[in-house]
Amino acid sequence: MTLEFFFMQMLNGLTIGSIFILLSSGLTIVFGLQGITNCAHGVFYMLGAYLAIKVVMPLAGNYWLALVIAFLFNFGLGCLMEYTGIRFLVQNKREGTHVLVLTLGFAILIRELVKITWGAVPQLAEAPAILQGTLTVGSVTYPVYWLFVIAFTAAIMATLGFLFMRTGLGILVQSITMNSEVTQALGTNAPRINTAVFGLGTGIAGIAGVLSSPILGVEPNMVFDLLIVLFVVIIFGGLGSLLGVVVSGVIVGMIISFGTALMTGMIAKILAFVVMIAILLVRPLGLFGKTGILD
Amino acid sequence: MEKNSLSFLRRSAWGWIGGILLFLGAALLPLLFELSSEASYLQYTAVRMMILGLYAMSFDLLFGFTGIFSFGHAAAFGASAYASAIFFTRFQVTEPMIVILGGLALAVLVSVFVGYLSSRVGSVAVFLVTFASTEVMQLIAFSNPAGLTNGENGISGIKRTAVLGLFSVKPELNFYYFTLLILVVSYFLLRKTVNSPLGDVFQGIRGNAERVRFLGYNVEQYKIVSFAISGLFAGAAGSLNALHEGTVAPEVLSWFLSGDAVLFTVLGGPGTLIGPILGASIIVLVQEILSDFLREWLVFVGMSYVVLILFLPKGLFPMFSRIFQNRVNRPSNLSATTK
Repeated sequence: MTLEFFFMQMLNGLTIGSIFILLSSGLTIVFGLQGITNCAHGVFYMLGAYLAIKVVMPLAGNYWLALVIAFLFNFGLGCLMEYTGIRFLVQNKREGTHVLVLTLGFAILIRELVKITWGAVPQLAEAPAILQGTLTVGSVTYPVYWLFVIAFTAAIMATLGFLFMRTGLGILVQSITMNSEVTQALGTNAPRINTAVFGLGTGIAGIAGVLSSPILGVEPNMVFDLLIVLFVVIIFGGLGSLLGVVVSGVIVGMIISFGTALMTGMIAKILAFVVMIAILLVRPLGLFGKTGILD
Repeated sequence: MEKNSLSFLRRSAWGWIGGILLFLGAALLPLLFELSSEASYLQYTAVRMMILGLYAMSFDLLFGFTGIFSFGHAAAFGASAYASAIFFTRFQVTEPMIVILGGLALAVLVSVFVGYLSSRVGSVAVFLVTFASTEVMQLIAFSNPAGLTNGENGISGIKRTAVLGLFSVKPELNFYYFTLLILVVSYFLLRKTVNSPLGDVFQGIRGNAERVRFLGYNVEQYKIVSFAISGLFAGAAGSLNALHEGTVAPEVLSWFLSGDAVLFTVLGGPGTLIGPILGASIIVLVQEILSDFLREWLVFVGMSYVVLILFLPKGLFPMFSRIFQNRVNRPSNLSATTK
């Protein structure tokens, strides 16, 4: 294993890890807030990518506009889904499993509709003109776009961190996570915040879709392809922990990247799963998890 | 609920009568098929219904009674199907009972392992763990370890031979009765299980796992037991499926199949045992009728998840049986409708 190979795979791992981090952040925050898992998270990831390559790019041809529109559209759709579906189940005190069935149905439905509309053939989007080309540092040559994905993810996660740690809204989100009922009793409209945070997570998933479209390609299977890996990431990091997602996202990205390069993609995925089992056996809470996963 | 021992007796009697009628109907069905020109196709479909019904019924023990939302129920089904196929084609074991038992052994083993992992995490994370486990099992089947699973082509050439050398399951008709027998026996075993003290613990876990724990029960162990029993019957379905189809491909480990278990159960009525069989039969029937017209079958599947869970979370069977009871049993109207 040469040094160049090692650096290349490190960067690859960081890039895929970035996508994992963006996608898992929404999942893990919503879990902390409402104790639910959104199986339809991949839908927003897919819709973000399809919006970019099928709607915004052909019409406006502007990558940055695609990022903004993917965020806004998926934010809106996420809020709508939470408001019309999940809130109905939560307020009727249904079992947690019902939310899973609902979101799963939604995921299957949207995946099929997209397949009918745009076909099932995988497509690779093109990186925007400014970000095309490669960057050479020493003996390692690397695509600029992939570096951009890493930097952009870092920026989004920093913003999220600031939002949840340092703003009034963030304090409310934290207090709902700790005790939803008391927070509501103190005059906070917790359901509204739940909806907004859900939308924020799905909006970020939309951004992840646009970002990954020139790297991982665009296809209806996006809805479920990464889901297992995302589950590994959020369990590994500790459900409900934003920091955990960042750390475990990078680790799982590395496992996938090195596993794929040294063996096959299939074995890399199995390896990631084995790591998750090991974590669950040693530490059921995950790296940074506090409560929740154990109920 | 108004406790009235007499009305309870009547209701249970009606259940028995309904069950016996259903069984007689199922037993006489093949004779009816013989009148049709497509007898073998009809029998094939009917056997498929029963196998998937058994599969869904085994899921009901986990989902409807223990309250565990596993999205990897195909793990036991597929493991058993693969084990049976490998026994048959590799080791040249042709006795169906041994083939099925081998399948069951692996199914229980896999279920205990998945159950052990699942019992360590909360109710939502169970979904993730079971889903991921099954997906990984499919990846393993694809990657063809030691040439055992034959990659994406799967294993073919499984033939039905005589059970214990006495009862030939080769002809369609005999296999129909063989499956029906296993389905009925499984139903009674599962019914016995959920009515036993063990079943009470399962239902207690569904209601409130904390309280069950305070009563001194080891909730984790009971969850694993639930996984194992459920896996046993799912394994029976998987083995029967391998014998019935003659081939085993990685699709038997796909999340589609895991999702089917959920769909059948939610549609038929979780926690009723008979409901999931009803759900499976309806879906197979609709699939057979509509598959020519409805290319995008999964749109329907996705939509039914959403609509059912929002508006009909108790499923079809409780609705049917309520209408039935109200019709025939008016005096106990109140106790039948209020739960």
